[in-house]
Amino acid sequence: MFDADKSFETKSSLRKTIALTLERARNTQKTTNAFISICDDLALARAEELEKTTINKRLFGLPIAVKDNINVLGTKTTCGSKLLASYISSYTSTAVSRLLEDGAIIIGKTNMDEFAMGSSSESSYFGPVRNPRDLSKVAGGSSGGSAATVATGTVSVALGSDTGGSIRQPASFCGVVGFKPSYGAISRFGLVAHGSSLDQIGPIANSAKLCAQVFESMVGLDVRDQSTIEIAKTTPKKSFSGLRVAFVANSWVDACDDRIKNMMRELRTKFSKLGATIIENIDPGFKYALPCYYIISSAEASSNLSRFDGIRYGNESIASLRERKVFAPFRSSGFGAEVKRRIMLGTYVLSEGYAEQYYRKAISARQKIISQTQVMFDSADVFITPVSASPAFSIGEKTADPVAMYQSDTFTTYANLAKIPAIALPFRDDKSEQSPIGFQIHAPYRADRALLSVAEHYEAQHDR
Amino acid sequence: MTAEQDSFYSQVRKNFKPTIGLEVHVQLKTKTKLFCSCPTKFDAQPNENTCETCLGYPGALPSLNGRALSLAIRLGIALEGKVRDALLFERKQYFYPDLPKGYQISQDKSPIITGGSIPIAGEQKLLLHHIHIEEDAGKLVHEGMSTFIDLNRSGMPLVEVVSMPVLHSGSDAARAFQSLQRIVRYLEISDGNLEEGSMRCDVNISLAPVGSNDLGTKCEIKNLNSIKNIERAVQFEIVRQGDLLLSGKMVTQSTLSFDAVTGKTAVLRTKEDAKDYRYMPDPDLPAVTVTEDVINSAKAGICELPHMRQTRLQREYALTHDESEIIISDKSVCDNFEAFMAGLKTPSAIRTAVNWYVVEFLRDYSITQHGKKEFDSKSRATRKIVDMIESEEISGKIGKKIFSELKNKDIDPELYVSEKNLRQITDRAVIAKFVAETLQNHPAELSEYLAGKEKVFQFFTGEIMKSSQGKISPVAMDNELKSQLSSIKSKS
Repeated sequence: MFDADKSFETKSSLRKTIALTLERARNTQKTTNAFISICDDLALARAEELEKTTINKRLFGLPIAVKDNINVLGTKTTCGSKLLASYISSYTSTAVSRLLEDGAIIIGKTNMDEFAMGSSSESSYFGPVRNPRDLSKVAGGSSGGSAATVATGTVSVALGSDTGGSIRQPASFCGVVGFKPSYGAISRFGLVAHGSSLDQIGPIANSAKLCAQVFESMVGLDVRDQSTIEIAKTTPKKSFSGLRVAFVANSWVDACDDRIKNMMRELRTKFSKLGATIIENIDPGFKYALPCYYIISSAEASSNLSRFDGIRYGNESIASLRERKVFAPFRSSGFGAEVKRRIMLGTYVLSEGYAEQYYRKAISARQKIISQTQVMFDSADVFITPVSASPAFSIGEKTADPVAMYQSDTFTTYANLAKIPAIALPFRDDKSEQSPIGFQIHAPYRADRALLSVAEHYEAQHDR
Repeated sequence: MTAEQDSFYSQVRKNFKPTIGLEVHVQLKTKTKLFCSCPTKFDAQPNENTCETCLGYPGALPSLNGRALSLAIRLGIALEGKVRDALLFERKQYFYPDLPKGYQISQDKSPIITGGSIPIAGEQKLLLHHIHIEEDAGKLVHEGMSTFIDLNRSGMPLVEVVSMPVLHSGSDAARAFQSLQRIVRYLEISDGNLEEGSMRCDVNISLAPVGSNDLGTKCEIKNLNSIKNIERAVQFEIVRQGDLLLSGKMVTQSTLSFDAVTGKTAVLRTKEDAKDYRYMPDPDLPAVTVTEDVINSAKAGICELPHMRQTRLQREYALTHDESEIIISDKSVCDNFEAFMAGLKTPSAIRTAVNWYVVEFLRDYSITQHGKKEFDSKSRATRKIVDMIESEEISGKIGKKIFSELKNKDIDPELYVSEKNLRQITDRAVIAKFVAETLQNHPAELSEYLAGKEKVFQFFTGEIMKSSQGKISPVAMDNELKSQLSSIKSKS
């Protein structure tokens, strides 16, 4: 396993190490379909360049895989869609630029649900991602490829994006750590938008510690993203003594898989043993979260995806522009079923006569969730919920039932609506080797560093 | 309008009251676009001024140009509108090949400015509904069977000035537009050129029966490209709609274009095709508070508005309305004029200077043709000529001669006068000598004069001028000639 404490690589062997990483990536690809592209030339050239540098960089030589909806100059950025199957980025996202500045090496672009819409990475034009722990199961989604490649040990860290759980749920399904920062903590410039008011880039890694390290490279204001914010400074937690830990209301856990129920019970014991004060039965508005999320994210997605109109992307002929026959045929054949479903839903909830009933109501419900969250954190430091109600399901199990698929996002959409940071950590039980489960810790808006330090402390106390 | 149209127009007006409102797009004069750092220069190659943001590339985000916000607020404050506390942008969504994101970033529910008015003349004003900020779309260029897309204009900063429907004639609409055009130029908010598209004017118009308080069905005429065409298009629509209504038909709510060649409007689309723009707040541009600092910096750019200045200039320099119109039309001319007039006190000196400025100077010089630097320097030279005329150092005639010399080369009129020895002769003794010599040299004419042929007086003045090369002060010469002639007369 990658040790974040040591210098990442010695300079002379960097190209050799990266060549090995690329080899591993190809093997991972064969079994899991985790990658859309593996960037051999780019990675090796970058390694050679780094070998020559004399400046000490904090992520020197760290190989990173990047979700395929994040622009990296010269790489394909397909978003898992037929429509962008041949699209090559003409610029690099702020998040990746900052990682590169710190010495990281991009080794490939990972598979995902089309335009990050999905919870299983099955809606990709490039085929589903298989869970490395059990190849018959989904890897989760939408950042399934990123989670799978970390779980196989190909890389120790990968970037994902999280609109309603797309980092945390696949991390949990694959038994690794996934961190969704506060909304605005990391610049979205260069992340292909899904639900712009919910989207956030974050790391998926084999430890909370590495998540924190990579997060620190990317965090901070960006003039090219006006939604970026300053996050709070903090002193690292050395103990849980006095930490006020809120647990989600049992009514929400009751409907979960038995292993999840058991995990929630054991977590209370663990945190309490470590000196934390347990606060029971907390619900900052989960009832509203799912409908609210699907209305807002679909509305924003329908708008964000309007730019894929057939004029500038794809291979279709645009000879019929004069007959006004470009947009509909191109969009009909370019987008997959799930994306079309969300575009129609989003268009509907924004339409004249319906916007009041759906979109604006969802916006008010979201405000309520935000204010209830603030109230909750008046008396708690962190808030714990499951990541998902069950472990990874079988490939094909839920593809025919979109609502069942949406319901698997109940616990994760909340943090995006509330704009708060949340980290998904794996939970070990007797079945977790083949079928990982996980829980998530939430903290107040902008308290990302405090949250990471809680997660690191938990990690240090357990199974390391 | 033909006489026939004219009489029909009168007939329509007897029965119906037209109501007119304006929607004017003003392109803000900024160095970079509204949401990216692409240059705004006009003469670039197609798609040269573009980047991932204004091309709408996946993942690119907008970031607001603070200068554009400041200019929009400047206009709002100058027109006495109310500035909104928080700046909010919305997405206006529709598909069109020149709209790369599939939506335009605009303001619907929360325009930056509400209310305000455009001064027209005297107390007459055009009340405004609001002013909002938005980005421009690209441009389609049709060539033969091909259509090209130029996205240089995509993301250019605009404000849309939306009036209330409160005007009742084409000429008022044209004057209101012209006033706004002058204001945006004075405030250096925009170039205000209809031809280059830095200002675009849409007019909506409806007819209602005289005496009715309700408004009729309105039509909107898009993209009128000159002040004259605003008036023509409105006139045409009044007649067209009036004709329909007088014959018992209905006006269909529609969007029209105006053909400047035929002078007619044509339907672009009717209400049935009206789009649902599905406005939503743009999540990429979170609401920001409009701070005191932003307001103050916007206020700092506000100068005396053209209609105020016109009134003041008319009073201070006793200008006629036409003179003031000429001078006020361009702020640089106006500034130049005031510099030209500086220090002149007496009404006669002011009148002489105004005449020189309007009749001579503006006839021969313009900023567009000569550039501001030369315009200013020639104006200073002209003022020197006026000063020398006023102090009787040179005659008006010499003044005009120097003025025409000025066109060909850079001369200092004062130096030129002394070098060429053109200073007017005012010394009584010298003048007396010229007069006496001329009379001596023309005894025949003198006899005629003494015999009562008074017209010969003009002959003498011409001869004296000729002999002095035009340098003699005409008034002093007249006096001297009269006195010498009368003394000869009394002796004879």
